[in-house]
Amino acid sequence: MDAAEQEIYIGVTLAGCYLIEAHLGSGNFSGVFRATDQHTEREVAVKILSFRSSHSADARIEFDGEKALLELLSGCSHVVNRVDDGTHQLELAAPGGAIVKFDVPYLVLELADGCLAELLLNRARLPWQARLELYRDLVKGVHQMHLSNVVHRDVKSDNSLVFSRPQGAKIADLGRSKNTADPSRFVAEAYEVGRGDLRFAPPELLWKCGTEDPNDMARVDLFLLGSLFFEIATGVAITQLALIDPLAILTAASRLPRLAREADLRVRTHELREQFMPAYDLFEREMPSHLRDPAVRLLRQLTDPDPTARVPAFRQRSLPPWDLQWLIQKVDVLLKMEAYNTGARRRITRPTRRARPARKGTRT
Amino acid sequence: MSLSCNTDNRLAGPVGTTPIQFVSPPTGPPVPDIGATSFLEPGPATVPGYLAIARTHADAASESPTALARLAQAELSAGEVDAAVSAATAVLDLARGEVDPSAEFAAVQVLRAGGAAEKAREHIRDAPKTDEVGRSFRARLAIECGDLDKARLLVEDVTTFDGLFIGGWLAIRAAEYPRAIALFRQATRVAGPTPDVLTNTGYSYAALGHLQHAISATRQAQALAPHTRMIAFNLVSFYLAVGDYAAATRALEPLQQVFPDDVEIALALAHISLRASDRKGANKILQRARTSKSWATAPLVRRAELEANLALLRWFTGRHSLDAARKIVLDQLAITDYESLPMASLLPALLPKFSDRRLLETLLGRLEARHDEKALLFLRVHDAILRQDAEAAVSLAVEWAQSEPFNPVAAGLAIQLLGDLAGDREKAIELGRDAVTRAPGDSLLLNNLAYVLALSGKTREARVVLGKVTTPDVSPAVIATRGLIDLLGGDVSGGIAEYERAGELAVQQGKERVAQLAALNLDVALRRVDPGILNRLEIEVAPQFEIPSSSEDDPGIWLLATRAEHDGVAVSLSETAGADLPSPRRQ
Repeated sequence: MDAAEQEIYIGVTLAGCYLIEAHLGSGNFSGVFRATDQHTEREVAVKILSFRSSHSADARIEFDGEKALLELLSGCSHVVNRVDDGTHQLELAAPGGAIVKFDVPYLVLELADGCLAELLLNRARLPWQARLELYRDLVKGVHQMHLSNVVHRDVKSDNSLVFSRPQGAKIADLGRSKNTADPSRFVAEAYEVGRGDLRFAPPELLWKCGTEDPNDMARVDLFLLGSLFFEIATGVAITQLALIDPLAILTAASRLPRLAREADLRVRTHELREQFMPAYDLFEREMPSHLRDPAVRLLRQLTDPDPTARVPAFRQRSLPPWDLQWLIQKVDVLLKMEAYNTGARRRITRPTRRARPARKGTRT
Repeated sequence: MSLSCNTDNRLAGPVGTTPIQFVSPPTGPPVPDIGATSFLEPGPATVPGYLAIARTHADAASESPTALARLAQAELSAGEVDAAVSAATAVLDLARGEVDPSAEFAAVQVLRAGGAAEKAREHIRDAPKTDEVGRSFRARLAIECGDLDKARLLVEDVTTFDGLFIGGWLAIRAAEYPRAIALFRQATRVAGPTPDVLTNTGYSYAALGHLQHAISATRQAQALAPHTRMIAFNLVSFYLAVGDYAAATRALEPLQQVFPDDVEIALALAHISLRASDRKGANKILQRARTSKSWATAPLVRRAELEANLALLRWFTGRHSLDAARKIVLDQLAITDYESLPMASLLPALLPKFSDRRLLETLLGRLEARHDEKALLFLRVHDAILRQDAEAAVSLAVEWAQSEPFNPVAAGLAIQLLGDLAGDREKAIELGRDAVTRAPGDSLLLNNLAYVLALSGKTREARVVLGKVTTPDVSPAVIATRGLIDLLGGDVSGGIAEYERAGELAVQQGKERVAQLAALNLDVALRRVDPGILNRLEIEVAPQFEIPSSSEDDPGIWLLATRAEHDGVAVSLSETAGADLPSPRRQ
């Protein structure tokens, strides 16, 4: 959404209720504004499909899809809440003086205090306990989506909202998400490259080997959660850091037939693991020493170029990629380690108390 | 009798004629090979959402290296290369004051992707050298610049996986194999065994001559990455070096399962069959590959190599004349615009005579226009032989053997030329003993080493070395060398009998030239036997070693004559055109 269009909405009241006050940001097809619910005085976020995109079938499908998914996921504690939705009739004066009317759909969402990416810009100020708690919330958000058969496909810090009351993070921007129970919205080729940001994309999508298989899409989410973990530690995108130029890879892969792409990717799996090694070294360096080993192991598992290796195996059988309970537990362990370490530090720095005199009759 | 320029058990392809490889640290994006130069398609006119967000963040936090690094990544991802380079440069400018290795690393990667690696290098040079991750990364960039000494300094004492891997790779480059093994072991302790580390460990072991260790490490690498060609082909080469043809074939099975019709794998399999003296089997494999589905989609070079190898096999099996085989190979080489070095490696076998010199010079010129001089050493040695430039031939052969330590053909030729042309048998033995540790199953190498050992009077060691040849009775050269050892070891009758057997076998195999060489070799060898013994056995040897004028065009005869001169034998050219083959004359 460009600046001129943003200006149009400032001061407009949608459905006689939501007074738009300021522009917050723009996505591919839409703009997000801060608004106030005139009835409850509550601040909300309004996501409006830009009128340039309102003619695009893809944009409409994405916007309507997000609305439907937010309805489906309402009540999930770690997915952003939909408050309302509707269509606003936008009236614009054409050069001849005639009035042109557009129906512009919008979504009303709960207003966050910011996105995780903003916090990570000065990540040194963000303690590890807080970072891990936010990460746990976001893993739980994706887990909740998975329990409803929804894959996110675009997990990154830009799409992770941070709230101060109650404190926590929620997963947002479900425009690229998909309910796997629904029929395919696009032709099969559209799934080869996925729908997310190339900077964070797993190798199988850069080689255009993605599929409509729900398990494959869940494994993409696992990679993206690994990439988010990397972002939380380093502030930058792992795929681009490790593979240098994802766009060049995708462009080259596009010129190969599907079978050749699959063969190439299969052959390169170990080479890709080596390519990710400097990124793991960097991650290790950024992690506090007491978390290093388990955190690096977890990152390596989640971002493995072989999608099947991203899920832990139990007695030779892989867990289903949908269930992220194991990942939540792993993050809990990291949180406990961090809490223990912080507590231990406090114990060391706490001034020693004067010893109480021993009670009578007790052994000393 | 030693063998030179003999490739009758070698095919052009991924093993045999291509050196064993080790894995280099990745220095660029792993872009799939599409066989043609690609260009970026014009992107969408609108700014993608992620880029708009990154720009907003960078505007709001212009002093944050993370914000700028994210912006650089986003700009690059959107195809905005100039903006990406400018944002990444801003990160490095900021990083001079405030150290943020993640942002710095991301910025350097963006600069490399954006074609501004020089800026990254400048930054690397100025950056502090305390951080281990930064040092290994800087070492990677130094390798890209070709500054290996700088890279070595940077990774000294680095204990990260990446640093240790780069250190090991640099040690291989400097031929410090024990140090390389130690560094790779340390890297394994840091990050567990990875295929690349195991492959390079195997390479280092093989370079030291510990082939069983090399096989063991490379097998582990294959278990972790069963579909990697380099690993499979290295393993095949190691098995061939120890003469285990069945295991070499098995090493290709994981690749075959994924690429059942692959031309490159077919070439490797045919090479193994040929090494196992199964010419028909090799021919069958290549014929099958030529009618397979993937033949149609195989790269032009692979198809040309297949055609050239088929022509060669048909010549070996007598279905083609040398001229016909040569025409096909030269045509295929021209079709690929002289790109295939494995195919070029067949030229010495196809242009064996002094009269082929002009043609070889022309071809060498065309190949030199496409390839590095060092990659063409095998052909430059042959060119020097055809020019009868003994000094150049010897020095180039030694250089070739040193540059390709795993190549038994190079070592075999160097041994022969050192022994015959330079008369420096001690150096030839030293080189041969070293090479045999890396290829203990190679019959050509064993034969040439045994030959030079016998000539320098070490007949006992020569017998032991020749005893390691797994199929001694199929090669006239090996039988002739056994004859030489017998002859110089005192068993003159036995030696003569072996030489005669070698000649007969060569005739049976249709190798008239080899039979002639065997006879001439016997003639020269008899001159080193005590005349008293020869008198007792009633064997008469002419006072001069006569070279038949019909053999004037044969470099093998030139080598033999030069060797005879080194031994103090008078050499003359037989005046009778097409003179009979010399043979021991019993009174």
